[in-house]
Amino acid sequence: MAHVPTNAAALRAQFGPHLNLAPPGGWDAEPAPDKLVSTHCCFCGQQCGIKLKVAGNKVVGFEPWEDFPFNKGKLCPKGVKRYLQGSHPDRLTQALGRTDAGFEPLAWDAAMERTVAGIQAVQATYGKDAFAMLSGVSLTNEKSYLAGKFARLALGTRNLDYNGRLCMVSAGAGNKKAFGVDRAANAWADIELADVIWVSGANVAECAPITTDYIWRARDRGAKLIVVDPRITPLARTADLALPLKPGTDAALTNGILHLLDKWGLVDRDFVRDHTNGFEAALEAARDCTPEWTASVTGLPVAAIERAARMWGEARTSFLLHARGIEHQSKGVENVNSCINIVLATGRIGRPGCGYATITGQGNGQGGREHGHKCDQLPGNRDIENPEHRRHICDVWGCTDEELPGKGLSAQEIMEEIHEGRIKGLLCLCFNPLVSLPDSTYTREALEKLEFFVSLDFFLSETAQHADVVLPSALHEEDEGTTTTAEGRVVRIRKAVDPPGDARTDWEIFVELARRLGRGRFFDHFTSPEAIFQELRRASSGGTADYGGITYAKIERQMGVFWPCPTEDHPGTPRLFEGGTFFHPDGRAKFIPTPYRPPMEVVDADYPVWLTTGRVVFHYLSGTQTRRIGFLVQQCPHPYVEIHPRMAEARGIKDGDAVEVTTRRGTLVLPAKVVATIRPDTVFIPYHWGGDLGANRLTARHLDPVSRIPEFKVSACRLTPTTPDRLPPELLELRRMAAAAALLPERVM
Amino acid sequence: MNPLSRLELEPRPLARAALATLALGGLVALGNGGGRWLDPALLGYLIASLFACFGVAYRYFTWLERPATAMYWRWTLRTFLSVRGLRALPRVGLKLLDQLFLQRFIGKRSIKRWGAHACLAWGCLLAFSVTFPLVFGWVRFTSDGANADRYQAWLFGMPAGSFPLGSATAFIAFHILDLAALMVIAGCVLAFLRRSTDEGDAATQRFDLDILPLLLLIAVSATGLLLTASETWLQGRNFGTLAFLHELTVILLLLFLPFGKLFHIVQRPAQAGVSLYKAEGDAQGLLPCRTCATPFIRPNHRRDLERLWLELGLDGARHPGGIHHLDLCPRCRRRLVMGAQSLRLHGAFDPFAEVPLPVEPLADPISFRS
Amino acid sequence: MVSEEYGFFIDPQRCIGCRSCVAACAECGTHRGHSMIHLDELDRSASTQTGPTVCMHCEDPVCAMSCPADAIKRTEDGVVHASQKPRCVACGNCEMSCPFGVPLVLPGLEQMLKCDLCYDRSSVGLKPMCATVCPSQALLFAPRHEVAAMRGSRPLREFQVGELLVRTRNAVMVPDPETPLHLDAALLLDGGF
Repeated sequence: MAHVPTNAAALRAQFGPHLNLAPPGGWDAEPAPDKLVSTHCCFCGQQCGIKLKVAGNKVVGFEPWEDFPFNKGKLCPKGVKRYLQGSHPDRLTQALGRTDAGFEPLAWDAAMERTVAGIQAVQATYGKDAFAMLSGVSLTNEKSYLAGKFARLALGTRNLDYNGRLCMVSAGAGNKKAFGVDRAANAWADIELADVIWVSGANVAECAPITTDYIWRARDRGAKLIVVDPRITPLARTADLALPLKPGTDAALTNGILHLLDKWGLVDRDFVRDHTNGFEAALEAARDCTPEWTASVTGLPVAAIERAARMWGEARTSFLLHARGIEHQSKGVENVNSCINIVLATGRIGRPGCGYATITGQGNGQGGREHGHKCDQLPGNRDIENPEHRRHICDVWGCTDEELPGKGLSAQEIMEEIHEGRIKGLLCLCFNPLVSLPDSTYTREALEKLEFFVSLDFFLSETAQHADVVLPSALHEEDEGTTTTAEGRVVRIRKAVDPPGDARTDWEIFVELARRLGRGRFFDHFTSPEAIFQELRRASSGGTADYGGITYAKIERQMGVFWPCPTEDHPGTPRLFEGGTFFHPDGRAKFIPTPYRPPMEVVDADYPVWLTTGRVVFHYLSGTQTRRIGFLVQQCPHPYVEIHPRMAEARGIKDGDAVEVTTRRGTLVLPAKVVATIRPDTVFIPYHWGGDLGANRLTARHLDPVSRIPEFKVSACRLTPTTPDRLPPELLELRRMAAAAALLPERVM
Repeated sequence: MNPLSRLELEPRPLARAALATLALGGLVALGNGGGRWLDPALLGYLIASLFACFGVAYRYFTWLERPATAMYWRWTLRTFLSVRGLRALPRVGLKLLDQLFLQRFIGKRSIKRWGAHACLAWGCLLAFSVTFPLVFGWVRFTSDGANADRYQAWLFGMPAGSFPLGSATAFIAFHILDLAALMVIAGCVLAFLRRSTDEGDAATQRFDLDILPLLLLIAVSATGLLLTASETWLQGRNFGTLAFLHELTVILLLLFLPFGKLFHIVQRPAQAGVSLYKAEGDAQGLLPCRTCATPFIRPNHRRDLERLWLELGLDGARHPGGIHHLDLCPRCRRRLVMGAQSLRLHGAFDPFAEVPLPVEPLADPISFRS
Repeated sequence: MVSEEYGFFIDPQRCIGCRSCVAACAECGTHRGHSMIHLDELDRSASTQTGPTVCMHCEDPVCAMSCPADAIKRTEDGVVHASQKPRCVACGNCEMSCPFGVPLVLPGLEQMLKCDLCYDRSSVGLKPMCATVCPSQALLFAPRHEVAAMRGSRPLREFQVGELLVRTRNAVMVPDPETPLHLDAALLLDGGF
């Protein structure tokens, strides 16, 4: 069974996390760079352009890439220090096999043989679908596409899903319902032209830092900013109107706005009539959402709600942005649609300065969700249950309909099937479910039940520690490919260095595994990422996410191509829905009624405090990479719990005190950060850590019925002050590491 | 116009420098028996040395006139003469040894820089310690009258041992300057190499400040080595020309001393005073910031800076309530800028100006299900 | 030389506290692992307000006036440089005298370091590292004549500490640049944010 080897100290000594503080050879190495490689940052959906300095097959630093139009050289600290993930002491350079004592190095062949035997044993005994695959969207488009094809044709399993399930699925589902397509409606350039910017559930400053400047450029022209968030985030601090609502009440607010737009005659009736369907039903759902009702649900003052409706309704141009805050809920899709409803009602979409977007979180969160990486999807954002779509893909892949499995389970459901003992084997890459899925105690139990678990990873993540075989894979800067940014811009990822030791790119591993599984005929022609991309183009062609006309050369020439781009002479589509034409067959957009319903878990006498989770600017997702970069760890070594002074006082908690946070799933002991920038009835914990530091020990496995996204953003908890000796040893160790790094006699940073 | 008046020489340092030069002249005369033991071939060097002495002393005394320098000078001297100062002396002495000779702090800046600097510093100090006594006539060598195969060393006119011509001692005595020259050249080459790759230095270096001294040092060392080469392998060919060139470069170097980068050789030992001064302040304990209460400044430093600011005309930097700007720690001074800007924005960006944070009784939370 | 036309325009209200500037400062060729920029919280218990501090490059630099070693030089382009390595004796006068709390005397290094506009970059027409990467452009490095068109607020280069008026090369953005920015300690004592 897939238990973690018991000697945690030995594991830590061997695999880290250790901190990489300085470039290879130290700060004084002064290597003359051989080349500057223009590529992109791997640490969020904005995919900022960056140039990596390479010397002697090592990335030794960076230069800002000021010509790249999206970020013009700007980078957040993750981007600045991203180069330190290379040449890292924790890097896996050999295949590993788990033993009772720990991990032993395996020769590549032995590892592949063990993997194939493991897969075949599980599938022979329990059936094809008992072997599942979990993947992630920090992978390039090529690898995402290949992951989909590999699961379906090499493993023959329907149970493939991805960590986008924890990211953009609510937005994707909501967008498809409303617009018939899943992409940011506009390039970010339209943000600058907007007169009112509405940001819902997005800590833009920390999770999409470069977007901050787009918003400010609009504000420099006089634009007004509305921020909806239970916390006064750095951007909300400066907002013209901050709406710190109760967690989980977003649709109540937007319904209330729709109600007022209608009441005050601020609806663009012509647009609604000519370009949309379903307005009356949506309005009906918001009929009782008076400002008073909205105020009672959201905890916002009536005046603020009315002012928001006035500002939004009277704007000439506007842009609405939202992110995980509204999407990580058991009604994530409804929240998204309620936002889209207030965009459609004003008709401000598909024109310069008029737009809407979700801020995609993961590196390739956009592209990775388009090409068959999801349990219900085929390339080009096609539906795996649509016979016509299946036929197209069978033609491209050269397989029969029988060979192409049907719709599988979503990520959380796969984990539940593992826990139930119905799924017995797992291949996992680019995903650290033990940190990122809710209720991590449950996830751990599930992983321990696996009969065979193979993991592809470059660092030994918390999840990979459970694997029977770990195959060393390549970093972002060790492979060619493309990603699609939050804007819908397809960009080129360039290889800067070769993978070290036995490490190989994921696509090479897929192709070799497929051959060894006897399915080489579907994969043998993949001799380079570009060869995969050529097939992806054909596979996506005719779908909504149409990459048919995109080539590597064109991406480089145009500094990115916005899909849809059906033909090679097509310049790409930065702005969707121009002329009010949407992607539904009738060309109209749909209002989706979003009657308000409460979160799955609400506060009560036993658990009287709202708990919400999120990111900090210094870390990326489950932290496998960023928790190994010295500078980032020094800035934020461990999680904490943000508590309002009034709440803290009521419970006798002072800044820095140890606090026990308990939900129905479990307990964490963390230091308190007493700040007046959060609602007094709510606490916040950043989620980038695992084990005793994992916020997801506390979150629940409540899923959105449509998108199957877990409700990370709303839980009920209770707080108890406790003694410092209850702080987890892991936390003290991280604190010690950060302090030791700061004291290094040589270079401070 | 009189070029001297354009130099704007300060009278007090001028007088002091003259005095210092006279004093050195006196010492030289005293040490070489009133010129009796002076090597006439080295006369040019001697004159240049005296000029250099004047220049260096003038610059040094001008430097001491600066209010900030004077402050340190005064208070360091006072500390030095106090009981506590005397007691701290051994510790400060050790630190000085580290800073002036081992120069480990340069190693912390960069190992390459330390390597280059160590070669240069030790090479120069070695050369100076040999040449000045020779030039001044304090040390000289003569053939031993009784035994032509032996050399006799003289110190201040007194015999200081003799050694045979072919002995190791003789070899060392006559080639110690070659060793120094090699060290200096090695240091210069390392320095140039470092400068050629360091983007930061490439941007900030100036020919007169950073390159010229290195070139001068190379010129001096190279001509010195060539003298040896001419003597050893070329039967003294071109010796005269080389000797002239060497003398010329050395004189240029000496005259350059007060102006350029090399002045730090005389200036740097002042660091001893700083160490002493800091030790004195640390013994008293740091004073707290008047706004955030974090201890941050040494009491003697605080006291002397206030006087210095008075002298510099900065004394008006006081906040309402009598808080001197010096009483704010650097972090609070930085916070003031963002705080002041925030104030200028008239609270326009304070989200709670119009939307107060909602208050609800925590004991009775609102539940949507209820 | 850095063109007189270019300067820093600092806008703390835009700052998102990400410390990208701190990270990037250490990466440029002049600095090599030493960051010379400060990123401070105003008062985290009350607000998420943070602000970056780079050297303001005073017209009459108090640090240079206070330096006993004569190690701090202002070049003709108005850039006040970090202390000259051979001269600086690490006394800390500059650190304690700077009106804006900029210079840093790093322990062990025996030298004062501070922002020098990334001279290796700015002297060849590049932007300093911090201003290049700053995600919110709270640190803007731009030609003076373009700033008015780029921003809603205006640059101010005069700061008042009691009776002392400090004029600087770099500017802080304010809505009303007609009067100097008053740096008044009462602001911190009241805690009125």
